[in-house]
Amino acid sequence: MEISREAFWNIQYGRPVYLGMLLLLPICYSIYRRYRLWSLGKPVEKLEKGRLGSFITGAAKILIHKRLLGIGSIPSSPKELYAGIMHALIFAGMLLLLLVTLLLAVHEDFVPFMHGVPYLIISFLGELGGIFAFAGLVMAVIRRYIRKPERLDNTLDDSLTLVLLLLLIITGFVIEGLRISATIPAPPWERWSFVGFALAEIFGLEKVSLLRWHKWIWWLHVGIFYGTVIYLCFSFPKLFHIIVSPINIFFCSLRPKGALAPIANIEDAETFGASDIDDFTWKQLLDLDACTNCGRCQDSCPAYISGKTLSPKRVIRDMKVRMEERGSKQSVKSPALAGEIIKDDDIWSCTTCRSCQEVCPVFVEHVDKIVEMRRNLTMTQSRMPEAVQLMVGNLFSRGHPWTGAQYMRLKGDWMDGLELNILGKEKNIDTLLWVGCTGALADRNADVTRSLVKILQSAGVDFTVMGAEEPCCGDPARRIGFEILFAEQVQQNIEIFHKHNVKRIITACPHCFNTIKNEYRQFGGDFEVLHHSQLLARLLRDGKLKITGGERRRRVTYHDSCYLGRYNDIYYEPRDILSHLPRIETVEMPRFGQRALCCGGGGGRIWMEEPVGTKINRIRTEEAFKTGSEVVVTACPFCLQMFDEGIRAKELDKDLKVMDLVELVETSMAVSGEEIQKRRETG
Amino acid sequence: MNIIVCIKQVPDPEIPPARFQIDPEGKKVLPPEGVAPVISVFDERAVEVALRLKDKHQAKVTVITIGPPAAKKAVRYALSMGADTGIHVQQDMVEEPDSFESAHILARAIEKAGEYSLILCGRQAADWDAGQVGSIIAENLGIPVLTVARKVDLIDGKWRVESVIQDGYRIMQTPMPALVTVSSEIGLPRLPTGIGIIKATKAKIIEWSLNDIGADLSGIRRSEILKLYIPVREAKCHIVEADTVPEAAQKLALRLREVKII
Repeated sequence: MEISREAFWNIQYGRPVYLGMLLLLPICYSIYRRYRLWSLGKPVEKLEKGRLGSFITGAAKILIHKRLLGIGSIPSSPKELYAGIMHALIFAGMLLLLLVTLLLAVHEDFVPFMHGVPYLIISFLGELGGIFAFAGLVMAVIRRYIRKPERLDNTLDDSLTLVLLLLLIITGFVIEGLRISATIPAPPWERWSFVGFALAEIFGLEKVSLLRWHKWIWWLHVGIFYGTVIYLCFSFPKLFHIIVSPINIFFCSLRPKGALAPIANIEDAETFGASDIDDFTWKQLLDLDACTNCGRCQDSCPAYISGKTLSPKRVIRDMKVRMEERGSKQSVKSPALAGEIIKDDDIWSCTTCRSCQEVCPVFVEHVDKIVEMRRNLTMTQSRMPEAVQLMVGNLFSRGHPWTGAQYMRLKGDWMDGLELNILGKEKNIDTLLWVGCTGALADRNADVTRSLVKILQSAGVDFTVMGAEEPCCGDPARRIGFEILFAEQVQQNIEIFHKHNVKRIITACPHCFNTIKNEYRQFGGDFEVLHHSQLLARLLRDGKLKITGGERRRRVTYHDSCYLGRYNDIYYEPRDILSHLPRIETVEMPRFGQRALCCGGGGGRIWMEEPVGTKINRIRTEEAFKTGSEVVVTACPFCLQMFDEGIRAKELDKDLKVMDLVELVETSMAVSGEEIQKRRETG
Repeated sequence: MNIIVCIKQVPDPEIPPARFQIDPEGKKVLPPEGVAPVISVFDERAVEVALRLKDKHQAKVTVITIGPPAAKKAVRYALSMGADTGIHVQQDMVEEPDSFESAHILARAIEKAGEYSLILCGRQAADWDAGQVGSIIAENLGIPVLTVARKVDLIDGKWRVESVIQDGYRIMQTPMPALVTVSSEIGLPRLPTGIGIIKATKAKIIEWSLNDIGADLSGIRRSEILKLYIPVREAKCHIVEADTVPEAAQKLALRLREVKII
């Protein structure tokens, strides 16, 4: 007897099952209905340069479950691995089953090829698919109904989806078992279909009486499958993510991660940012449908973790509800989205740390939506927290965001006692040390600037500074949504850089770094921008820095700045520098790398009050303290300030202090200021 | 209804005191290097009052400033806050005008600007703190003046003004036109909106010279700086030493009584 099988076998009138293909029509219609909702948004170019490539990398990301399994992320998170494996099993299982069914149809009605070994392999693959999917679904049930993580909300849709899929798999195995049972003589090769064969042995082999059961359950199985598809078409349930999420991944932003989109033709605009759904782009609305409510964003959001009312997941969900509302009744205008459905407090609570985006499996982009709403609040409605108002006022009148007694100094004051080349006076140097407002104005941060200058000078790096004339880079204005101020500032800065032939910019501030590197390009400014950690790592590697011994053995922990890490993937260099320093032992906090918790100071938050919940910097300080380190090392002026405050507020200053990376390097360096002086004199 | 606001650009009052420099010989304040001048805080609030009245009663707001070309920045800022027209009177004098000269120039400029129902000034400029220009303009124009306002309302065609006085405020009323000087109690000035900034960037600021407005300054100046100096302040620090907090408090209290503070 030949090793093979008929597809329909016991089912005499099975072929009408192909009519189910007609269900593709309502699926397409369903997609079209959602497309109409996305079209409420503003059009943006769909097929720009590089989009084709993003289709391919997107498909690869989906296939390997890059985000869900945390592939390539530092560190991998065992906590997230459960959900990742669960999804991967269901995904791989369903894909295999679909493939096997498809091949069976091909074999039956087009090219019969499933004889002998190919049949056995395909049977076996189908079996694996069923097992994978079943295991994944059981894991899902355990997770959802026994472990119950806080970030999941259990709706009827979730239960229905699980029940339907489980029934599909179980009936699939049962009909397979019944088929084997009722086949005479019993086909021994079906042992390759190991689950089906095991079931058949339970039912009893060579039992013709089971044919009737087989027929009924076969139709039940088909019924469940098409029932699921019909459910998929008519209520746009969570399962629809199978279709929408890949589309969203294909159309994900091609800008550098750290760059916000500029406002096109800003000088002709009448309103700014997004006050309601139709002010977003179609892609931003597509995001809303791609979201599967998995809640990873919420779990990693510093605002949510610290007890604020903001949840990135809720923002997306509320926006989706609003989109459906606007789609069904065009006239619905009030309440507005920004400020009423999404509250002002939530819009201002975001630190723009990007951890929500970094963990989102379907590449939803949350931060730009928040900033769009901020743009509307600040520039159109002129409504913002008093602290932000003060900060904007300062940007307008003083060109930097700081106020208060601590900042009663001038931009060039940090240069006292240092010999420096001033931009414009030194013609042959194309490297600029961009100090940044905080590094120039705040006492504690000015120390860092001076350390950096000394290190650069001792390593023989030629650079100029702008001194008292250095303006703001524009980042604070852009993150709080004051795009006009940002655009003006950037254009002025680029003009200055071009005028003085600046080619390379070194900075100690990740916020300046990110803006100049990733966002100035939008205004025609293309410069080589280096964060001090990159430069110091390079200098150390090249042996340009003389490292001797540190004072004594010290345990330190490194805090990843969001704008360095998640925004620009600089995780390695700071750690590389630390590994070069003698007598320094580095330990990691539980949340580090891509999962590092924000210090609480990004996105303009450093200038705002934080009255609700726990202060984010206190949580992070506690985390650093628990590592048993005596120094928490930062590479960002805001992080430095946030830790400084956290340490003092928690009265940990006897055990823990905060230092910038360059300060730690300086303490390990052989060359003191006097030696530099001597070296300079001897030429 | 036309409202005119007189504004002045001053050196940033937030610069550290140690960086404040004068030229005693030339009897001049030296502008600090690397710090842009700002619109005087009280004048910014005067603009705010004008804009609040505009929001409520529909008015056209004109801002006027005197100064070097850089002073136009202050006008542009007021325009971005929402003022409708900006006038810059070029000051081509060697010496900074005194309060009488400033008031004379502003009064002539206001006359040239046309009809008005209200003139607003800051209670004083944040540089010299003289607090005279507003009142002298009113005298020049022969209109009533109410000073140090914490609130300005238009009620039945009259200006009702709450003026700050010691321990409170008094309410006064005056017919139109009038001049009111504004104090910081009015509240925070608004920030420019996006559309405001765009409009201000595109707006053309009217430029007048002293001749254009027919200002003849001969014999107007009435004050002279005899001596300009920065007063020397000495601070001595006395640390109260004690082992316990109550003991320290007791010692501190005794010490304060000794120097007649309590």
